[in-house]
Amino acid sequence: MSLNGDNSRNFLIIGIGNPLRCDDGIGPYVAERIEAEGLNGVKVWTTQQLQLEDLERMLEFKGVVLIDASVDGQPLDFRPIQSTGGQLASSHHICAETFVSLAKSIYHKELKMELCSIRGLCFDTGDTLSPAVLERAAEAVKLICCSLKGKVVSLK
Amino acid sequence: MDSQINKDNIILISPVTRIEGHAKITIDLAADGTVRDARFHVNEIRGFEKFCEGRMFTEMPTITPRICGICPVSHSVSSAKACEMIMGIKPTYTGNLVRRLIHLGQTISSHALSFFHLSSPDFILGWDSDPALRNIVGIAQTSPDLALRGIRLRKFGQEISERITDKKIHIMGIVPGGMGAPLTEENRKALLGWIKEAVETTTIGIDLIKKYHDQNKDMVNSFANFQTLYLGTVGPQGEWEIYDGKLRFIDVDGKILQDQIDPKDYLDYIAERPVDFSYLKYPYYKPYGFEKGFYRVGPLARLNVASRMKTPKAQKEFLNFKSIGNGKPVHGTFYFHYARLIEMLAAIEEAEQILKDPKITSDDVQTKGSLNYHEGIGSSEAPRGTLFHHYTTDNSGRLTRVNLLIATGQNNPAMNRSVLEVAKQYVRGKDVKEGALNRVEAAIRCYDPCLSCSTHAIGSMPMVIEIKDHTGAVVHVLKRG
Repeated sequence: MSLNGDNSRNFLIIGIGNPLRCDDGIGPYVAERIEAEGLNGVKVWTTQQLQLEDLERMLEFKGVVLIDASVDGQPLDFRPIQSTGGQLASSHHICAETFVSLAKSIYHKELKMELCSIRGLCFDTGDTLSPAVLERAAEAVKLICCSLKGKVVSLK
Repeated sequence: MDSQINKDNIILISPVTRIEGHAKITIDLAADGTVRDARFHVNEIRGFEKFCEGRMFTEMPTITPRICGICPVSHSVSSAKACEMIMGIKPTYTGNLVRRLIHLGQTISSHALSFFHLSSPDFILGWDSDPALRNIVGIAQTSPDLALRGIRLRKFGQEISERITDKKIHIMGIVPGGMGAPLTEENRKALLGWIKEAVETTTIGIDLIKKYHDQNKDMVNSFANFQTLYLGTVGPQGEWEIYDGKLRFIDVDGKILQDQIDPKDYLDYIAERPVDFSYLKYPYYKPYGFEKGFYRVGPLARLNVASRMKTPKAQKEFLNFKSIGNGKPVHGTFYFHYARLIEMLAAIEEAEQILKDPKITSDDVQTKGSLNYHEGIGSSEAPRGTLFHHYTTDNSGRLTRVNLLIATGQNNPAMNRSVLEVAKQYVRGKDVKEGALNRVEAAIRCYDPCLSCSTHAIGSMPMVIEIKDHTGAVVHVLKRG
């Protein structure tokens, strides 16, 4: 799906992860399932890695949902991303908080961002998702779609 | 940076931050607390050369961009050139031009990242400022316009790749014989629209670093200032060149040792030796031997070896750069930053020229060919320095041997020397402050090393600094990660 056009009333779903590292691919998997639902006002993007330059694009949207695998924490967790400073020690990794902080300090805009994290079980080389993680993914798709439908309806 | 001191009295800094890859620095102290030795260890290995064996050579321009997310274009370009030597073909005029444009875009993107995101926090916010904010977030808080400009400049570089290949990282589309697809007129116009802003931002960066030089002359001139040889690619008249040219070596006084060397003859001039403390080998200039032959590559080297720049604004700064050394090479490691900014300006100017070439949107972008020889060597100037890809194939075109000589590997001996010089200057005893160790790290950051490239790493990017006492016991450890 193209991300071009007026996105000011749209939500952006970003699935993050490497599908060739087993459960690390759960972010793109969930994002693609959401895309298949064909919801109005929802655009989907998958990537292996976020870059600072992606911030301008994120700010075009009404809100952003990141979906990523986690190595610990709750099996399925949702949390809003707060502006807490964040760090950038290398271009190879960047925390979600950094985007929210930079949106405020550089662009003087509020970036509404939520993180859906799904705890993975296996991060070995391979393109197979663990059965238990797939169950969490199905739950995540359901919850995100319900939430988005509500938000989309409220926009009308 | 986390730090710890163990019972044996050794300092360890871990991880070295704002570089691309895993690394560790050890600083050995003499009995009186002065620095006796310091080393930069690269403790990761990936083995791209080995697992590419058995693949068809034509796959390499697609496989090798995966080595690095910062300089994928240089890998793809060098790889395509090696394939073209195996096929015995040359790319079309437009294919070559589009590849050159993407390569310039990558230089802009990488150099913008190095200067604005990773290095400038040290000299804008201060070497001893809060390490938690000594990054682009801290810059955003104190100088939001500069932070925005830095981010957008990098975006411009990436957009060149994206508009040509549809990918801004790990690009596809550079193929043996040229390009897989042309540049459209719409994308040409869109990229031209960036030039004015890109020049302005780079000029701001140049003014910033020159002002810092003026205000900190002693520090800048003493920061890891030592003599080495230099290697870089030049054009037929000795002009600065990063896409396609011949090799030039100069000595510590600027005397040309070798000129217009065909990159395919690189093994006649460069040898490598493994060392026991790092996965990075020690390359050296063969005619001078291991002890005297260490050389540097990258922005400082390229400006030291070049006779002139190709574009007016960059040439003006180049003359100023040359005046620093009074006609001799500029050996101060801190001048890597200034050289990097001048290169960025040159890349933007050249990109504009290419975008105005009437043939840039031609669809004649690829020469076709097939296996004709069993050996191919390609090179280009990656943002961090000269890059070589060397392939040997069997009769079916399967690779039997792959050798990748990476810029960061070639700078490895000099990075070690830089760490030692800066440690001697700023470290006294085990109770060193974070700011002093940040300066040691900064010596590495001048080279903007990509350890993922040079060792082909797996994992995230920690850096460790260890300080050892005269008995070899670790007395202090600092970690980041």
